[in-house]
Amino acid sequence: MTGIKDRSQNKKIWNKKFSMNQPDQQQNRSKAKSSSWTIWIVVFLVLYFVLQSQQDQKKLPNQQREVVQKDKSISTSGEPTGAKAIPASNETIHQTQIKKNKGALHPGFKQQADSGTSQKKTQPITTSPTKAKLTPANSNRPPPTDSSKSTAKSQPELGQLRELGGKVWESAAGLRYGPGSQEKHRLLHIMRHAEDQPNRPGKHGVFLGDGERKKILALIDEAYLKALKGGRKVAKKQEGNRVVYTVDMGRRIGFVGGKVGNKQGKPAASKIRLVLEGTNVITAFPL
Amino acid sequence: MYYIGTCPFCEQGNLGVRICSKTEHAVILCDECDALWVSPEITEKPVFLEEPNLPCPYCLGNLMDAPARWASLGEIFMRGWISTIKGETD
Ligand SMILES: [Zn+2]
Repeated sequence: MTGIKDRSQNKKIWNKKFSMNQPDQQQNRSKAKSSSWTIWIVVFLVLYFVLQSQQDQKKLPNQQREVVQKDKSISTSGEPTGAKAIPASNETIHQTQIKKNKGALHPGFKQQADSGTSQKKTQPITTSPTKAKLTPANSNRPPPTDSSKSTAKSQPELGQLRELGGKVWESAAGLRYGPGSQEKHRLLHIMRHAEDQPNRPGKHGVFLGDGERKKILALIDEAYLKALKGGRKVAKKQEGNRVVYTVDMGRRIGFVGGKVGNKQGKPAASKIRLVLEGTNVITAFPL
Repeated sequence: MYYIGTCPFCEQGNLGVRICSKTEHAVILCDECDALWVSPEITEKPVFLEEPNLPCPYCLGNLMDAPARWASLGEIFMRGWISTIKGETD
C-alpha cells in the first residue's frame, strides 16, 4: 500500500514539477530560437560582407588587366580601335602609328592624322598619365566599343573633303580642288561629269553615283590611289608639270555620253582619266 | 563656244578660241584641261599656263578674268581661223 502511495505521490510531484517547469522550458526554447536566428543573421551578414569585399578585390584587378591588355593590343597592332580607352602615353604612340600608316598612303592622310592629333590634344584632359590605370567605373572615357566607332568615324572616307583655305579643298586621298576652269572652281568643273551633256561635241564621260559629289570624288580618290600604286591597269602620260593617269577601275564606274556616246548607245565606262598638276586636280572623267 | 576639234591631250575637251582679258590676243584653249596652243595648229605640243588665271602668253592679261571670253565668229574670222571651226557647243 505504501508503495502505491509513494508512487502516486511521486507522480503528483512529477506532475507538479512538470506543470511548473513547462512555462520555463517554453521561454528557454523561444530564447534559444531567437538567439539562433540572431547568430544566423550575424553569420549571414559577416559572410555577405566578406564575400562582397572579396568580389570587389577580384573585380578591380580584372578590370585593370582588361584595360592594360587593350593597351597592349593597340600599341602593337596599330589598329585604331579603342583609341580613347588607352592611356595618354599609349595614345601618343597610337597616333604616331596612324600618322605612319596614313603617311605611307599619302601626305594628305598625314595631315588629316595630324589634325586628328591636334584635335585630341585640344580636348579637355580629364585624366592625368598617373591616373592611366583607371577602372571603367571611375573613368570619364566612353566604352571601348563606342570609342572604336568614333575613331573609325574620324578616319577620312574617300571622297570626303576638308577645307585648306583659299577656296582649296583636299580629298581624303590627298587630291586638291581649287579655283580654276571655266566654272571658276575645279569641283564645279568635275561636277560637269555628274550628268550627261548629250549635245556636247565628241565624248562626255559621266560618273555613276547619281550625281552625288561625294560618290564621284570617292571614285576619283580611288582612281588616284590606284594610279599611285601603278601596275598594268594604270597608264601615265606626262607633259611638263601635267600628269595624265588613265586608270582601269575593273568595273563600270560610268558611261560615255556626249554626242558620240549617245550615238553609240552610252557605252559603259570602266576607266577614269585624271589630269593633275602635282596633287592639284585639273579634271577627271570616265572613259 | 566655237570649237576647232577635240583636245589631243585629254581626249575629251573641246578646243575653243579664247580671247585674253586685254581683248587683243586669241589662243586655242581646251575647255576640259586648259591645254593651250597659240594657233589652230594643234599637232604641236600644248602649252600649260599657270593655274588658275592662265596668263596670256602675249600680254599682261589672262584668259580667265572678264573680259576674257570665247571668241565670237567675227573675232575668229578676223584672225583668219574661220576655216578651222568645226561647230558650236551649247
Ligand atoms: Zn584638253
